Amino acid sequence: MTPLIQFNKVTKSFGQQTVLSQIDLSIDKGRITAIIGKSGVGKSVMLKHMIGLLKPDSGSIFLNGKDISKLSGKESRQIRQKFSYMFQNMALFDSMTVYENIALPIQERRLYKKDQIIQKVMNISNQLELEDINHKYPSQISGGMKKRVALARALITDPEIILFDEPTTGLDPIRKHAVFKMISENQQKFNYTAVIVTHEIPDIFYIAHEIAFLEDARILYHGDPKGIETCSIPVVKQFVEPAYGGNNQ
Amino acid sequence: MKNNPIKQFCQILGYALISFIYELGHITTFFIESFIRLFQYPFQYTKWMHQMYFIGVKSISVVCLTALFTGMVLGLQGYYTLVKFGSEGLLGSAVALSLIRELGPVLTAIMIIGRAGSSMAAEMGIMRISDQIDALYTMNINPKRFLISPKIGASIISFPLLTAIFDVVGILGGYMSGVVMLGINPAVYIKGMENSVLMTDVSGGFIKSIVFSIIVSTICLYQGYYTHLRSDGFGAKGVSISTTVAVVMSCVIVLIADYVLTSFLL
Repeated sequence: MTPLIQFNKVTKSFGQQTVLSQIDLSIDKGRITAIIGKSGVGKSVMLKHMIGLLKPDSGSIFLNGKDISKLSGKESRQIRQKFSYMFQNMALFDSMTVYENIALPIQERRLYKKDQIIQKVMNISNQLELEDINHKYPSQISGGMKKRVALARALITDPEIILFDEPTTGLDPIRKHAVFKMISENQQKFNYTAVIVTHEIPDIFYIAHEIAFLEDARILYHGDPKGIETCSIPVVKQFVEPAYGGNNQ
Repeated sequence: MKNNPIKQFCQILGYALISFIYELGHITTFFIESFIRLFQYPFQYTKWMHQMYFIGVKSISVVCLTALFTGMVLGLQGYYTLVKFGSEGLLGSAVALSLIRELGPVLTAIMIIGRAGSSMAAEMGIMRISDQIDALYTMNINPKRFLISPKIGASIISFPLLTAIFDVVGILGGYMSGVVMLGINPAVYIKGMENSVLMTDVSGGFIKSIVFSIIVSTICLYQGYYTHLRSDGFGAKGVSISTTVAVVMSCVIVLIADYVLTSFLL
């Protein structure tokens, strides 16, 4: 089966610093793939490559077998319609209310009529407990609420591929669990492909179908969550072990 | 030859020239891309209105204040110069022509640069560094159409209107200082103005204001939009440098363009 997203020898540097070096990674359709690793290794950079926010210095990225660097403008736009992205720092529009932020993707792209937009926004607001703050501006709400607004905005277009950049950072444990549960349940219901960049281990292992561990500009481990628990690569072991209190169980 | 100063000088000059031409081309394509999207369906009426309110309506008070005192100073200075030649009756012509041909478009542009131009540059810069522009891209919303086009369109509409307001208030200012304070015959003031101001003067002033609107909006929005590409500052510092560069560059280019346009229009 052709992977949905495929990195083929992708290399990316910023100045003297190489962030991705000859990365090969396949992401299958209809599965949740988590990219984990230490802070600053380049996980978000990988995510941005998938949607075309960054272009690799060398190598290719394929989407459904097509090299995204060779797509025309129209083809790129059609591909991007399938994506949704949740930024690490939320990237909410300060001059718009919570309601307007969530409605923006479907309003601007004229995907639905006005009453349908209201219905969709209210549905997703209720799911994420945002109904009481729909009239507020991002500067008037907490970091955790902003995270949920960003998540609502990412989910509202019913995309085929959702890229989550640290979706639970800043949330309390109960809400973290709720967000992961929602991602997993929605994924099962709508069968979208999710790529999640996160530090939340071992929580992510319970919902991810595949884990990719990024370190030193390379993928050191790519496989199922059970495998990473018993991985013998020292840096992977060092990263994963504390999550289990020193025991890989 | 090691450390040849002539070679080094030529290299620096060449690099500066290439950078300048690259930047000029980049700004031009930025403007053309954004301008074309003004006419893309569906039209963004609401955004246009909002931007016209922000750029136009909210600049009226500062434009009126500047115009009033500019006109009064022109009246004052003009009177004491013309009276030496016994030509104080030409004060109306002098004030009106100076304002309509030159000071109206230029000072209006400079006031809007300070008020709206800096704000546009800062807004774009902050949106850039907080990933809001990238967020639009990921939502398949063209950032230039969504953010830039309405501001350019609103500027093109607002500048000539504000220039007209400047001209009128400035002429009134000249009337206040010349007629009310210094005792020139009001009929002479108004008649002088009526006889000397031609439609070509008015249209010339409006042509300048439209050109200045394109210059100011493009430069300010460009600087903010590409804040992340700055090598001399990142984050908040980058936004601050972009805003400063936007204001200074806009002012300088408006003055240069004023000379070029005047030489064509006269």
